[in-house]
Amino acid sequence: MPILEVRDLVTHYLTMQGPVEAVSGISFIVDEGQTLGLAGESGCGKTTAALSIMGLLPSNGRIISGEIVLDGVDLVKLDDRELKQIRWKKASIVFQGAMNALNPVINVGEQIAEVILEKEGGTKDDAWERVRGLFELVELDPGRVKEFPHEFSGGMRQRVMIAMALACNPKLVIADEPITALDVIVQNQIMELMKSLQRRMNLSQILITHDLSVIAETCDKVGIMYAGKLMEYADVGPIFKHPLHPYTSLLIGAYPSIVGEKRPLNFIPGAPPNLIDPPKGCRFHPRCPYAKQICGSEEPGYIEEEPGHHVACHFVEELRDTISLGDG
Amino acid sequence: MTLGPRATDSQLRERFSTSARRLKGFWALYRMSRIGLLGLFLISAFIIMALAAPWIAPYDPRALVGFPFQPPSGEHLLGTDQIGRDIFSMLIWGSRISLLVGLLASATGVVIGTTVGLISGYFRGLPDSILMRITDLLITLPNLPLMLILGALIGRSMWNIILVIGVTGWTSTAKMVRSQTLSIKERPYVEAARSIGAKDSQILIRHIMPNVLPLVFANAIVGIVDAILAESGLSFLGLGDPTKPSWGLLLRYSNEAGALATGRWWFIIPPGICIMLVAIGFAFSSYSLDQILNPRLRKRR
Amino acid sequence: MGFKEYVGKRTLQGVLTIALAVTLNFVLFRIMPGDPTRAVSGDPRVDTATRLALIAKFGLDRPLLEQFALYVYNLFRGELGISFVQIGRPVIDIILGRKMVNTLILMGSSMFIAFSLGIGIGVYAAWKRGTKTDVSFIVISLATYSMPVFWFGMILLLILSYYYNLVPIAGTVTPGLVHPNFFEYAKDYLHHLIAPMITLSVSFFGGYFLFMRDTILDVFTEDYMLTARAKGLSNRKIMFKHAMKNALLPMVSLMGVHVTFLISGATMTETVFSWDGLGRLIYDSVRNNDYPVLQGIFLIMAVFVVVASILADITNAYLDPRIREAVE
Repeated sequence: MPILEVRDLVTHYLTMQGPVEAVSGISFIVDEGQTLGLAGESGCGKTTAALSIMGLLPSNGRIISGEIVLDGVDLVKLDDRELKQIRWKKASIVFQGAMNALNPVINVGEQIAEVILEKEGGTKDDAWERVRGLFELVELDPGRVKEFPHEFSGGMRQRVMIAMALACNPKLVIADEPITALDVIVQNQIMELMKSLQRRMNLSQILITHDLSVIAETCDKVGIMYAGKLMEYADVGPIFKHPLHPYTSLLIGAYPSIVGEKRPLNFIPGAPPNLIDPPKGCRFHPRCPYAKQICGSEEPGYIEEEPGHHVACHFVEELRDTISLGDG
Repeated sequence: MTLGPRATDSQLRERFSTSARRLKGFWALYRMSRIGLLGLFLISAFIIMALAAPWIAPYDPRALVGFPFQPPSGEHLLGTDQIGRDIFSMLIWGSRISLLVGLLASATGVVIGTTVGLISGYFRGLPDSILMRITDLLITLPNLPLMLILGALIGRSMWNIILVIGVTGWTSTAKMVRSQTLSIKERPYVEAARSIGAKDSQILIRHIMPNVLPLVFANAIVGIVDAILAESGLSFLGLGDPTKPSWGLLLRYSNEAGALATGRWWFIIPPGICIMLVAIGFAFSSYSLDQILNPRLRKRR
Repeated sequence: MGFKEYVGKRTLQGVLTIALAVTLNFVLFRIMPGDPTRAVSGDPRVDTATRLALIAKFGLDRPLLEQFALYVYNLFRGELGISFVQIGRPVIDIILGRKMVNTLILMGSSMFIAFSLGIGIGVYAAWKRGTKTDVSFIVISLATYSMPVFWFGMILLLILSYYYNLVPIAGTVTPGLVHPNFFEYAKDYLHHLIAPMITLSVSFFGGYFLFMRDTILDVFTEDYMLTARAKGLSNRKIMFKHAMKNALLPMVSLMGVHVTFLISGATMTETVFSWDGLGRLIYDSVRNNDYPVLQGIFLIMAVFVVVASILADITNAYLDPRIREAVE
């Protein structure tokens, strides 16, 4: 049962140099109790997609077309007031680098309690009771609810953010690079916490990150984004074992593996394109080692090559074996 | 890139075209601000008034050309003052004083402030501590009373006023230049320059000053607003140069002659409007300049 | 550093600044052209007996350094000299009394109005950035900033007093009128207070408005504002709780610095309105060359400003939990 269905979402930023096509028609589904991982390099549009879903685009951002159906309601059609009501109750978001994501002059408990009170009413005592419960849920000392953000470490602040995101029992939690700014060991702790919370509360999640190893460990479905488009979209197993898109394969190949034989690390030459004037045809073709004539003139369709496995490439069949990664 | 005597044509073209391009880009941005354009217009209008005074003023501002306290008429557009001078002419000639004092006093303050800021920020240590103590002290002391006292001490000439305003008004420039210098000093290219043996003066002139000057310029414009207001205030209070018909002085005369009590609005309103319009001109311009040049504001776009 | 240390450090700085001010005060009035002792006792208006007494008290026939020591010693005893104009009256009497109260009332009320309006409208304008309302207020603020304070006072008087006879033309209370009780006195006083208060408030409104608007716009760029929006909080909560709390911190510090400008403005206003306060006293003393009074006022003002700015900074530190509850 899908909790969230995004269909052909197009989001632009209006700038003085022209519209930036940050998201150019992506579609994906998040099923109940599942985690979708959105991966890709910086600037590929994954954060924009998240902001579009939550209705949090900056003043120069516009959803041009598409549908975002959350729990049966198309969010694109809602106005500001209606969106505000849905926010945090149906879907919440955990930002990266909780350094600045928490208001430095308000104590952490208050920042959680206020949203409980605003969204669900009730007494202050009840709200704070729940805050303390949430603290325990994320393995923080409930005695510290009245302290300020700067009194916590980075990892602990992220736990606060998670607690806050869960405060109103949302159906969907979007996590935008939740652990990128943390130490490796803390990263692991937070990742484990999020996994266990998801299991316990049957949450649906969208995990946005450029770190494929995290996705491999925690996600059920994966979407690989590049330059505002979805290049590949499938369950986590197939994508990592036999990716069908050259970009996916290169991305995975850029990560060293502890097991298996030593091999030279791939890197992808070049840089992501300018989205005011994106490349014609397949957006990846300037950097794709397998690009042919047609890749620069005709955009490949987003086709379900295998059940549940979508790819956007002209040469899926031809490259199938070349880019497969076997059991690595 | 330095252009030696043997710089080729294309090098010259490239060098100047970048500055020209930057200037054009800057002007394109500035043009978009209606506030800024209005400010520029006002400034130009008054500069023209000041320069063309001998030709547009109907009478000699110091001559007694009519009966005292005449209301506006065909002969005297704004009437006459308490001893019979033409107010309109005094108004026109007054623009020279306000602009001159405003520009020079602000320039003085900016020069002092920039020097203090550069020394303080670049050399740190003892000079920094001393200069910052002095700066803080000056910030603490109220401007107007200080200027009144200094003015009383050194006498009432226009040049003294310029000096007094300049000497009391350099603190904001100094602080800004100091903080800019501090941040530029830490940048990699300055470190690089130092490691290849560049002298302090070279670093200051070639690396730090070009980055500091745009903000100093913006600061100078604000300084002009304050200087014009300060001059008119001092003249009003009686510390102005009695030989120069500044607008503040006009208002002083009107006050002393009881224009308020007798409703002689033509004596009261016009000089103030002039002060206000000139000041607004510079204030608007500085606001637009700040919007463009201030690096902090770029984040908001 | 912790809060207590900050208070201590700041107070020490203040004491140092006052010490510097005292020294400057001493030096300033000793470099009068002509007889250096003129500033204290050498004025021909002072009679011989008083002059001899002053020479003794301030050691005017001794070397400069001794004079300085004596000066400081006398300061601690509250001995600021004798006025030239009000023959025989100690300076400290003149300053600390009715005049100081009048000035404080004028300054206090004006600052309160300008500050409240400035931050309220500043927040609103920042929220409605770019709209006609916002631009109008920017223009109004720049315009009132550029307006000579004394001229605005004159215009106000012209309109309100001359044309409409709404407010009295000058003074603190109606001269010569004996008031039957305190209430009548207060009415008369307030009646006289209106015009100068409006003048001073209007001239300061602009600065507060622009600064608050600026600060709030800066706050808007912070990550925690996006979090507040994401939580679906009401606009009022976002503005007044999350944004303003952060923006008020620099405002409070600004007020400390602003006291100096307030004094300058008050000087001008009091002169125009013949308001019987310290500003007027400065003006009269400059006109009459009443140096002892000038010197005394100067000192009091410096102390006042330093104390005000220390209080502002300490309040700022107290309100900012990052300093108040600093992590050691």
